[in-house]
Amino acid sequence: MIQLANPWGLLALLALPAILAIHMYHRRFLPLEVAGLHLWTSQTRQSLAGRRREKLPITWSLIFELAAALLLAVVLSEPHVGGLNQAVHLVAVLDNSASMSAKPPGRDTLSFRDAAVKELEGRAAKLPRGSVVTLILSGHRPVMLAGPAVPWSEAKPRLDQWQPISPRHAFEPAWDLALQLVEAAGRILFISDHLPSDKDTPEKLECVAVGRGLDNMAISDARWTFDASTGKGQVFLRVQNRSRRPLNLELQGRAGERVVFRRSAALAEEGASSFEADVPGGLGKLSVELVSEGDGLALDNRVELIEPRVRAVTAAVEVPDASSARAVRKVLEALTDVQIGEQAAAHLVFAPAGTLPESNPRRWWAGIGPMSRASGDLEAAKDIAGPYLCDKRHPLLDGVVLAGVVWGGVQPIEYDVTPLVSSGELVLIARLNGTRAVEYVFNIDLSRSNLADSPDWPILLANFVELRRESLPGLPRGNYRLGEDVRFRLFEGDGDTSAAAGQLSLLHNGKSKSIARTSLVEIPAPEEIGVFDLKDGENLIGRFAVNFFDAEESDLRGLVPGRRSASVKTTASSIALDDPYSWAILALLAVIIAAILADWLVLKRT
Amino acid sequence: MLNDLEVQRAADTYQLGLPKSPAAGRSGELLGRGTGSSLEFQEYRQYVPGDDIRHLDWGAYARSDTLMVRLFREEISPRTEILLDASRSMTSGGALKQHVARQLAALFALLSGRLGGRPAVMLLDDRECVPLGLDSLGRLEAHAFVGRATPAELLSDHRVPLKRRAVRILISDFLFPHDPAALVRRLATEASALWLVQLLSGWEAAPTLLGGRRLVDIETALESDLVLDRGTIDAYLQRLSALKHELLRNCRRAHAVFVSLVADRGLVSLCRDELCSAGILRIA
Repeated sequence: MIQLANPWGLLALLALPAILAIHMYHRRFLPLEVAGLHLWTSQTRQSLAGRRREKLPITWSLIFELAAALLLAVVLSEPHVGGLNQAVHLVAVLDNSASMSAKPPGRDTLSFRDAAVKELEGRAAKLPRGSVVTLILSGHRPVMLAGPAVPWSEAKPRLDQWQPISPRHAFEPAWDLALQLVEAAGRILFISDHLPSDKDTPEKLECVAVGRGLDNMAISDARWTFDASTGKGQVFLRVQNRSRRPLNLELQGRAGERVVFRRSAALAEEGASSFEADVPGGLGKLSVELVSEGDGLALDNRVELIEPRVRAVTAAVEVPDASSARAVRKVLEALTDVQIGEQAAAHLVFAPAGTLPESNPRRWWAGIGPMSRASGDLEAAKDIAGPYLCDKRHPLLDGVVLAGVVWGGVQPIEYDVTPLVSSGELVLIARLNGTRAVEYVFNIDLSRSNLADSPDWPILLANFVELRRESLPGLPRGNYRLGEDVRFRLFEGDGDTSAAAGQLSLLHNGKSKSIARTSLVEIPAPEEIGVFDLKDGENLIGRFAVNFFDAEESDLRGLVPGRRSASVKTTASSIALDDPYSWAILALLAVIIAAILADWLVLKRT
Repeated sequence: MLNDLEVQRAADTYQLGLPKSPAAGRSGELLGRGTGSSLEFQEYRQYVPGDDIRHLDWGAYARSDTLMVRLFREEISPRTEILLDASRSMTSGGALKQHVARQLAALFALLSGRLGGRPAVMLLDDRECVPLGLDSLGRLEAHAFVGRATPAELLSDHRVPLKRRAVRILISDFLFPHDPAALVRRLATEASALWLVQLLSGWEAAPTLLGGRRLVDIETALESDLVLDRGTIDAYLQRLSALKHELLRNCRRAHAVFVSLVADRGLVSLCRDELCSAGILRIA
């Protein structure tokens, strides 16, 4: 079937009757007067006055000119014969989740990723000449691996570098991007290890699943804690058997070449087990490897852990009331890595709420009531049994429920505050506005309240301390999950004391990436696993590890191969990017030029 | 045309190659076939009354008592009829053809006149044919070659006043449909000598490749679209050669002379080569 990309080109066919008319009425032979015409030919005719209609002379010139005009019309109309010249835009969405890295047991088997590449290569080989492809990797933020609309030769090298590693994510953003790129014409191909739900996929989407059910053993969680008091650390590991049969496993922790711990166990089908190992302090980095027979996914068998750094918080308790001070101290002493010290060196201060502190960004402040110790104010203070309105979004109140708490000694607050906990019109906990420091007011008289005896009190203070600890300069943690953003404070206050040190950069696997130098540094979730170094100029200021922990991606049992065609056929006809100079068009152009030259030669001879 | 430099030079160089015994003519410088009063002795015969007694050979009478009359070759001044084809065909191929034709006519007339003959140039066209003598040859140059009638048609229609025993010279291209045998027979009848001079233009004698052309007969206005390639030209040349051959064959049969000239060679070359070779001219 022949399709015309530019039907208007057929208007060139109007040249055919024009050429015929010219040959019909135009006297092509120049007149030459001779004597003795009978000696030249016996076929003569009597010329009459005026132009007369003659029989159309079928000459080579006429044939060549008609052929040139006809072929020119064909070229201008850009014919596409069948699929040979029907260029399409293939938009392929590749499932970038880590499960695509799984590989069935056996030496000659292909991983799901390799099978996807092979499938795509097969599709590309069948594409008509001049077709283009766009490769999109799924993820929380879809990534265009190649494109938009590039030749397959350009996309192939990028496809070879593709290594699926993302944790579980939705495919819709990638599909939406594909639909935007493919527009009205073209095909969308989604290659995954499983077929998505039929009702969730777009109508234009053709789905190919290259996965199959596999057994897998995975490290689903890993932590490394350090006790500064003992100088020892402890590694917690959780291993899950994502298979339908019992499997033996062996865990091995190494610090460099040194084996720090080794564990062996047998896990029942779909079973899970936790492992703990004491590790000495000062190891810095630990590599844990899981070995299991018939394991489908290697990505979740290895974790890199960074030894946590002690980030101690110094707190000063300046509350004059002894019972209140005791209630605060009791909680602070129970918290790890918190030391009680003098106000001048403290990161946070518990002080009377009635006296506002100096505004110091490096020193957080918690004002403990009562707001006024005047007898009249104390008598007028109210005791409240609820209900309490809490701003649950605030991290200070994370886990705070205030069930059964009697809030006593509540007085009006005359400061400019933002309420965090209130009851009716009374503000119970609030953050002070108009100050550079982080300052909270606890509008409470602990001697008249049972808050200090409730579970909410240590939670409240622990939240306060941890918030302060997180705001200390440096990485708050050493180990992150893949897909987790990394945030840390580079410096406190207005001034960057390390500004002269150099450029802030993130190093991983020999690649360096610049980071904006601000007080609060936010590193978007790294897309690779491993150990990352933070450097300020040439100085190493931090190190963290990113590991793959995703129980859903580690579960390969439900994967099945399959195909599902698009429910709506796209009109994959010619597209604007089609190369108009295909070999057929070039051949036609050559024939046109030859016809014109032949016509010129014929006319020259005549 | 008599003042034409080439004609004058040729007239000074050549003379007409007339036959030894022209058929007839007034008393002149050429010997006639009959007896006359020239000094060239021819034969004796017996005196019959009426003979010129000045030619009695008294010596023979003394020896034989028989009156014998000495007969001398008569000297004649031949009439030369120069028939110049003045049809449009003589204008084909440019102006050179008709110019040389006029030169030839003038040269023949001039040479004939120098021999004491009575040249009469007759322009053959549609108009009434009025012989031009030497004194009126000036009209030759002004005469336009616009006739459409061919010499064959004019002769068959008796529109050419031919005299008996005249030397006839026909200058034409002969590129008109005709029967060479009939034409030569007609011209040779009662002519003391007949010369047919065919004058062609250079392209007519040797056409070049011109490609596609609409050939238009300059006289009949008939036309035909032809591609003047090698094959067409070869066919034309074959027919032209056959025409020449027929004219030549019939001329031989009638004791006439046929010569074919190419106007592009010029009068001087034509006189020196072709006309001398054919015996129409000889060095004076």
